[in-house]
Amino acid sequence: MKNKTTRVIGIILIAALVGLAIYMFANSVTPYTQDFTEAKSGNTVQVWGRIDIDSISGNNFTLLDEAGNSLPIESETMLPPEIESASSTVCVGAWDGDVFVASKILLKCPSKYNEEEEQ
Amino acid sequence: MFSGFRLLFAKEIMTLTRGKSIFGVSLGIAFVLSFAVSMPLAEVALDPTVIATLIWTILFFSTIGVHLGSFTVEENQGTYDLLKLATSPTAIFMSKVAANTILMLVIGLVCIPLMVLWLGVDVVVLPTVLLVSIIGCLCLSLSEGFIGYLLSKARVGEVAAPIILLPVVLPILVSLIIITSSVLEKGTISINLVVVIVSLSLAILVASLLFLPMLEEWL
Amino acid sequence: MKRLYLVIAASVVLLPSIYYSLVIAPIPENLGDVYRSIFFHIPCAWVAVLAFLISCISSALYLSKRNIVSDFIASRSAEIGLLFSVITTIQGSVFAFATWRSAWNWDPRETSIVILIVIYVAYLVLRGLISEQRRRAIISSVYSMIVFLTVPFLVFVVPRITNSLHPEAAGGSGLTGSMWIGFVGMLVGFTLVFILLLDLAVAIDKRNEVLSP
Repeated sequence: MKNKTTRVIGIILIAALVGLAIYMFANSVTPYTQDFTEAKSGNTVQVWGRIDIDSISGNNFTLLDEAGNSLPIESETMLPPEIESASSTVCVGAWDGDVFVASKILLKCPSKYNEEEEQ
Repeated sequence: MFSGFRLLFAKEIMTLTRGKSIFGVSLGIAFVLSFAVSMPLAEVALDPTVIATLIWTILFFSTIGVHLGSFTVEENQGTYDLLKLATSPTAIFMSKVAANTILMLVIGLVCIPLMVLWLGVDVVVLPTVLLVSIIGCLCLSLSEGFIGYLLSKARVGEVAAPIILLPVVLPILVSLIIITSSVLEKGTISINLVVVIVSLSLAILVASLLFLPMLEEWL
Repeated sequence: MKRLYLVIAASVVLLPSIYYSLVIAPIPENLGDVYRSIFFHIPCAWVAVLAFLISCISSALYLSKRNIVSDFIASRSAEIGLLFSVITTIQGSVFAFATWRSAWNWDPRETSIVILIVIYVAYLVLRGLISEQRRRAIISSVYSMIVFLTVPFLVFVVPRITNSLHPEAAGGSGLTGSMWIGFVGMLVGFTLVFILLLDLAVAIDKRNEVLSP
C-alpha cells in the first residue's frame, strides 16, 4: 500500500515539474520577430511579414506588418518567381542603415491545405 | 533509507579520483577539447550562441565517462551486489550521483572559465557564467545519473552512451545554451529558463527514484 | 485470413486514392504538380507519429502487465515509425525546396520530426545492444518512459522558437472540397498499411519466440 502511495505522489510530482518547465520555457522565448523596430537593430534576425506586391522591383520590395508599418527589403539573390503569389514571407538578414539586406527569402504559400493531422 | 550515504559518497570520490581514474581522463579530455577548439577560433569574433554551444557540447561529451563509469565499473566487478547487502539501492544511487555531480562541477569550473577566456569574452561576465555553470553541471549530472545506472544494468559498455543519453539531456542542453549565450551577451540570467532546467532535471530524478526499486526487483 | 482481408482493404482504399491524388485531384494553380506530394507527405507523417505513440503506450503496458507481446509491439512499432519519419523528412525536404526555395529551415515541424528520429534511433540502438530478451524488454521500456518525459518539451515547445512556414489551420481555407476525398483515402490507406506491417513484424517475433524459447 505504501508503495502505491509513493508511486502516485511521484507521478503527480513529475507531471507538475514537467508542466512548470514547459510553462516557463514558453514564457521565456519570444516566438518570432514581427516587430520591425527590432529588425532594424542591426543584428541578424528572421523577420516575418506580408509582401506588398505592388512594390516589387528588381531585387527590392516592401514588407508590411500587421499594423501596416513597412520595411524596405533588398534581396542579395534573385527573387524567386513565386513571390507574387506568396501570401507572406520570412526574410533572414540584417538592417544596414537604410535597407534590410536579406540573405535568404522564404515564401509561405497560400494556405490551401490543412496540416493539423500531422501532430 | 539513506544509511551509509556519507561513507558511500566518500568511497565514490576516492575510487573516481584515484590514479588512472575516469575523473582524470574526463578532465583531460575536456581540457584538450577546449584548447583544440579555442585555438583555431582565437582570431574570430564569435557569436555568444556559438561560444555557449561549444562550451556545453564539449562539457557534455567529455563528462559522459564520469556519469557512466561509477555504475558500470561496479556492475562489471560484481561489487554492486556486495554494496546492496550493506544498504539500499536508492542510497547507492544517490551517493553515486552526488559524487559524480561534484566531479563534473570540478571539470566544469576548470574548463568553462578557460574557454570563456580563450574565446575572448569580456571577463566582467565571468562570475555570472560560473553561477550558470554550477547550475548547469548540477542539472546535467542529475539527469544523466539514471541513464548511467540503466546502461550498467544493460551491461552494454559505454560505446553507445552518447546516443542514448542525448534525447534525455537535449532539452536541458538546449536551455543551458540559451541561458549561457544570453549571459555572455547581456550579462543577465533568465530566471525562467533556470527554473526550466532545474524542474526538468528534478522530474527526471523523481522518475529515476520511482523506477529504481522496480528495476532492482525485476532484473 | 484476417491478414488477407487487411491486404484487400488496404489495396481497395489505397490504389484509387493514389490514382486520384496523382491524376485527378484539383490543385492550386500557383503551386503546380509539386503540390500533389502533399497527399503522401501528411499521411506519412501521421503514420510516423501514430507508430511512436503506439510504441510508447506498449512500453507502458509492458511495464504494468509484463506481457512480452507488448514489448514486440513497442519495438516493431518504433522501427516502422522510424522508417516513415525518415521518408517524411526526406520527402518533406524536397517538397520544401520546391515550394519555399529552402530545403531546411529549422521549421518547428522539421525540427520535431528529427528529434523524434533521434529519440527512436537511441531507443533502437539500446535494444540492439542488449541480447537477453527479458532484460532488453524491461530496460528499453523504462528508457522509453524516461525519454517520454522530455518528448512534449522537445517536440512541442523547443521548436517553437522559430516561426513556421507550414500553413496553419488558422485563417487557412483547408483542403478544398474534392481534395478531401483523396486525402482521407490516403490517410486511411497508409494507416491500414501500417497496421499490416506491424501485424506481420509482430507475427515474426511471436514465431521466433516459439522456435527459440
